[in-house]
Amino acid sequence: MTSKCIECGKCRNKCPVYLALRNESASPRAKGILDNRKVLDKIFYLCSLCEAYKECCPIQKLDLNIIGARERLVKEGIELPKNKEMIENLEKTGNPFGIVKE
Amino acid sequence: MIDSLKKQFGEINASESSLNRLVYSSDASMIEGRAKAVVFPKDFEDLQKLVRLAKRFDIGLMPRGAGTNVVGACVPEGHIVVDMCKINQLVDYGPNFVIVGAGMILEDLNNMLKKKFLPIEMDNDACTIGGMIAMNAMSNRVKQYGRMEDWVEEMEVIDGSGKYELIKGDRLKHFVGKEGSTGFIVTAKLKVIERPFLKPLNIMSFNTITSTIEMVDSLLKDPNVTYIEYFDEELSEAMDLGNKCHLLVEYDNDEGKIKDMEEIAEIWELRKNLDSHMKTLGYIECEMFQLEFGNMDKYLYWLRKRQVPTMALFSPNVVTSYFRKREMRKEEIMKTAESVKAKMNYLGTGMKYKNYLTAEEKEGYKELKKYYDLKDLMNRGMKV
Repeated sequence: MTSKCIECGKCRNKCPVYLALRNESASPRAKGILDNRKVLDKIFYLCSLCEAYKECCPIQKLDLNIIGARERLVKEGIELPKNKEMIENLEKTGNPFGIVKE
Repeated sequence: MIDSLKKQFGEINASESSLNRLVYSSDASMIEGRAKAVVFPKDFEDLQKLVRLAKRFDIGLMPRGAGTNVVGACVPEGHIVVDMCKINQLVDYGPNFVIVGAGMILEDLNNMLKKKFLPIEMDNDACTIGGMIAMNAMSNRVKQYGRMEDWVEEMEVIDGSGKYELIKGDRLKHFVGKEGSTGFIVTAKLKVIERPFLKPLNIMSFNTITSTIEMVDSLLKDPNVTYIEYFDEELSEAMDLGNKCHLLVEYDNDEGKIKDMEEIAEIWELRKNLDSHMKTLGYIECEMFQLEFGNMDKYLYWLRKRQVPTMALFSPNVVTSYFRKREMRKEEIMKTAESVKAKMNYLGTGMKYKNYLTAEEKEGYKELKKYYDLKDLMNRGMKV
């Protein structure tokens, strides 16, 4: 049994992010390609985490583990400005918006 | 070059980022190539601008649909990859036709058509219409519905010289099945038909390949038979048919023993998911060859002896065999397939079967290039 992405592209038409952008790099397959080649990229932030790809993926055990990839990105200091701001806000104020309780 | 591309198409629609180049360097074949840049045209004008730029910088163009083909037909070798998916409009429709952009996805088209459909049903319906035309796609109902070439009435194209042309009649074959080597298919007028009711099926089991082939021979003479497919023991098990060789046969009349619509629908569902099922089992690569009917039993016996999971569609006698990745036996199978005069690139040439193009096929491409793509910009180096 394989649990790796076989890069068939069946997932493209199920992914809301791909359908909005029509760029292969935003598709679940792109994340599978990166995972297969052990490449970490900011594109893992471009995902709604809906896991709609699982509806049609022929690899039943495939888990793109987007959250895991994001964890690794943060550990390596690769962050999006908004993401960074949110974490700083959480650390300083305890809420993601950075609002200080009066 | 990239500055010119970005100037013409904008930052969003032209990219040479390492991410885009990596993602667009392969397709469902998993063959890895090398993309120079990626462009997302939106209309005819964009494509004409792109051809002009490609001429100026003397760089090849590689059109791409959904990248769902398994022969590496859109794997670039230093080309600019042209993703056609933003040209996906429904342009026009009538009772028996539909005109769509090349980037229209098959699943979306059939959902829109509701009671009508384009009867080339693919296991992977995320493919685009442009890609299906470029590959001259066929489904397992090929005996009844033919290939994509039978359903295209007209096409609007931008050829390799940047010229707009409306292609119809005899000239359709200059673009259908040519894998984008003559120009960009931009829109296509397709015939559509009423979605038919499910037809009765027969499932026949056999102990030997010889007896199976004898039955196929007689079924092929029956004008009421619309589909015949062979499954070896392993694929039969995957289809829930038991551990023997089987034939699945569809009839246009009442001869089929399975008449219950739900049961028939279940069998087709299993058939549709068969390829995915094999992939889940680890058979992630497959080879599909077309053979003369007379050579089928010899080849099927040979595969069975080596326990290669195999199915075969009659006619056009396409044998599909499954492999686990990097299986050494694959090379042996290629040699044997050659010895039984199998046509390797029946379902597409791409990067995978590029070396199996015959001298006649190469000459044909050369002639077409003279007319449509003198500078050999389209799929440069892939066919000629």
